[in-house]
Amino acid sequence: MDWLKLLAIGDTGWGDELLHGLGITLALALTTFPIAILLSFAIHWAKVSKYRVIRVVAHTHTTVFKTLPEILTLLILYYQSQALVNWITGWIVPGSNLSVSPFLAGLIALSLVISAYGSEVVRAALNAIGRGQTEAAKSLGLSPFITFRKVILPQLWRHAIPGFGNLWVILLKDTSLVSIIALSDLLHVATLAINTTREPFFFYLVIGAFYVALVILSTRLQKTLEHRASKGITRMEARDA
Amino acid sequence: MLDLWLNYRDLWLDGVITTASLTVLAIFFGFFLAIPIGVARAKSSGVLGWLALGYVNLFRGMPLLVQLFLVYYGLGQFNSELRAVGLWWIFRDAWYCGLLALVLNTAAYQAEIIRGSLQTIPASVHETNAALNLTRWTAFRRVLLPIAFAKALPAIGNEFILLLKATSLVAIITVFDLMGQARFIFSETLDLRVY
Repeated sequence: MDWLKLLAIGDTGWGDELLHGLGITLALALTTFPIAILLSFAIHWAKVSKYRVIRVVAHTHTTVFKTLPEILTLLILYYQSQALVNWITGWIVPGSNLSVSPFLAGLIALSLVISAYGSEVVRAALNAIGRGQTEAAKSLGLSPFITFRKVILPQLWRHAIPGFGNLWVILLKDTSLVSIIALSDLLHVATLAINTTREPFFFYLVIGAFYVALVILSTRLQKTLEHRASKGITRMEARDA
Repeated sequence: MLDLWLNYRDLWLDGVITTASLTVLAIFFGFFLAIPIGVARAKSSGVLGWLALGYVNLFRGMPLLVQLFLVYYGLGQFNSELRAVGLWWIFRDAWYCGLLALVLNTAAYQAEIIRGSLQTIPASVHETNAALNLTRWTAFRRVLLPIAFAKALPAIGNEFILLLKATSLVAIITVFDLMGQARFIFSETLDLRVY
């Protein structure tokens, strides 16, 4: 069939370009996710801080990035970060004209949005563990940092997997928005292919299948991680913890 | 900044009306589409169950932008076939295409919500229905659906908010909702404060 020829790898077909776009999509998602997780912990830590200013900043961050549509956040950040970077470097080297790559703008925007939801995941996971563990660690004389690293974090992991797994799927789908700012991710490559071959239904269906496959793989991986993290935890313990 | 509001007052109002109407209509039609799919997911283990599972996975797995493009550009490719069937009036207009894509998308999410609320109805309710000798259709219509709807209402409220944000994407296929008006005014004034 004619259509399989369109997907050929090499010069005659679009297969290799689509795979390249898939690579960019995965690269963006895989670099954004760890940053978003770190930011989630930071935002949650700020929300329970004893200084009111820090609390207000964290709550504002969450409210703003949960209410704005992701595409609006992305567009504002892309255009404004360019202006901001030029303004800052204008103090150091007047007349400089740096540009912010779409990849970086997408990275910043998506990590800010995902961390807004991620801070809630961290809060729920910490609530599920309870204060007893921190109190016990403090009575043993462990420093706060060691407590977090060796006592809280291993237990938090099990409760956080469903929430963060969900956010990973949301992140995968939101990376398609960066095609609007001309980063050649999967959707953008498909649009280019369509502009030359005039077969929109076929190509959009193909990348739709790519995305669905990615999501199915991710949910499988999430279930495996949940299963492994719950090893040795009986149902009675799971109900209490 | 106020001049950006006042000069383009009519356009902003148009945008708000478009966004609001798209959201309300999409939630409404999506709910009625989601009920059979949710029931099929909750109860059927045969072909219907698999079809419903495929539909939900397809429309929750694809980004909304891809679904919008698929309906607008993809189905627009078949304009001669659609004209012959007489359905071209839907796919010619970007507003209808956006509405169709939003309805299909939100129906998938609402079907999962309805499935969850149907499956958490306690067994005692089912036993009571059997003891009262209600037919399956009456039991569903009079007992199960109201209980499930009450349970699902908070989650559907959440979905309403998410849908409101998602309608901003239809600006990409040239529907002039709030986001679309912002892009249009930006193209005229080149003033970033519009966003």
